[in-house]
Amino acid sequence: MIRGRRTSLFALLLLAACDRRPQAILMCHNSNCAHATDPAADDTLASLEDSLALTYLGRPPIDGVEIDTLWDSERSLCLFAHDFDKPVDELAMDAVDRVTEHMLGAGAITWDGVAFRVKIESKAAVTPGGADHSADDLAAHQACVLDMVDRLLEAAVAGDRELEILLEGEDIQFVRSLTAHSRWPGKDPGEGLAIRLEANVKSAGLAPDDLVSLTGGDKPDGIDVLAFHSTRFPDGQQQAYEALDVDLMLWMLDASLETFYAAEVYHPEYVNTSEAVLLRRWMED
Amino acid sequence: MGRKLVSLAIAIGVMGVRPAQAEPAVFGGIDVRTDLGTQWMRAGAAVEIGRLSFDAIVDPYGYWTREQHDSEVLAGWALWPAGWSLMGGWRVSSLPLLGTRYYQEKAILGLAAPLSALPLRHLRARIGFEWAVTLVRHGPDLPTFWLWQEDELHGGSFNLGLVLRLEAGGAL
Repeated sequence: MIRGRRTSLFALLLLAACDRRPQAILMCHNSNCAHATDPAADDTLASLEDSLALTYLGRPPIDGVEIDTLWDSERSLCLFAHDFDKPVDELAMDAVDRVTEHMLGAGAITWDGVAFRVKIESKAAVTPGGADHSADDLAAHQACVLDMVDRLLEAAVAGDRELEILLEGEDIQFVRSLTAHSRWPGKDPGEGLAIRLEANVKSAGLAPDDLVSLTGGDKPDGIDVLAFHSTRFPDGQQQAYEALDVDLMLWMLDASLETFYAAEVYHPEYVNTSEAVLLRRWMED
Repeated sequence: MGRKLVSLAIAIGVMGVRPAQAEPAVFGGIDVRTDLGTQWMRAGAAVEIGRLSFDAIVDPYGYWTREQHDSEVLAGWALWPAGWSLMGGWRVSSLPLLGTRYYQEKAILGLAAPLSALPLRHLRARIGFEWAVTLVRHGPDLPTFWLWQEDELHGGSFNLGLVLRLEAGGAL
């Protein structure tokens, strides 16, 4: 009898020791994790609302959303879009308003019960032809992003929510210069509030000394989070990312074997995906 | 594609074993694999002297694209004539990272066997199973990590591969 109990206890300990699926912070890619396989639904207010309303096992499956901003230099508009092909104009600030309404509501707004995360990604092109920011474009686009940040921070305080904002630019210079702006609130703008700088491994101009992990944690314009995409290519590249000792964000359009593999092997801090519900089910399986 | 070729090689392999190579021989050909440790196809050359073999494998596609490329040397000892060989070697992976290049130095251990039944006399095929472990990662302005310095040994430090080599050549 005692021997049997010991065997059961041993089996339980073995089960407890087994590695669980990675428990990453799950972000809603392009504000669209309600219509995952429909890229036309990316970066639309309707999809954002649907995504914020998702539930799984009685709580939100996501921990945050991504809002893309695109500066239209010809019309001086700060758009909620990832390119100029979007058929209707929707403003980035309107997307922020949907998020702040959500934050001001009652009940849980994240799966992990911690901070709500908003990733703001600023696109590099300012015309349909792909022109880069002029000095005026950069000033206007950054003012738009800082307006978004201000409104999100205000809502977090008003709603008594913890909030983490991740700022990314396709061009690393956009993020670097943002931290030198007179309106820059700093990486720690208040209790329960945080702003983190993010770069994609493909960001133009990214260098080793941009990473806080390689230069010391107090670098004010240092990159805190590095985003990467996993596809069926040799995996040495991804092995190298983990050696940088920086928080990783795995991003994907649709889930694939490679992305699940990368999530299991490289344990990213964040997963940014349109397949958020699928990923949540997989993580909890 | 690599997986299909390796499966085909296994099917061919069960049909027989190539006769032992009595004289020194040289071969050149392609190296395909099922896993993501390297590009799925690379090029290689081999020298065989009795039961001893030396392989050099290069990565033309990786060099051309400037993405990840992997170069390696292997030495093998046939456990019996024309039979399974114990292989050991070294692979250097080079990849672009943050505007510079990062290098991963890997030790390789594996088994390889010649296959037969290819219709032409100067063609041969070999199949191999290999295990590669990243011993050190280094690069300009990037951190150097030895295997024992890793905070946590992820699956990414190890790589298990199933390899097929298709080669042409013969005795010198």
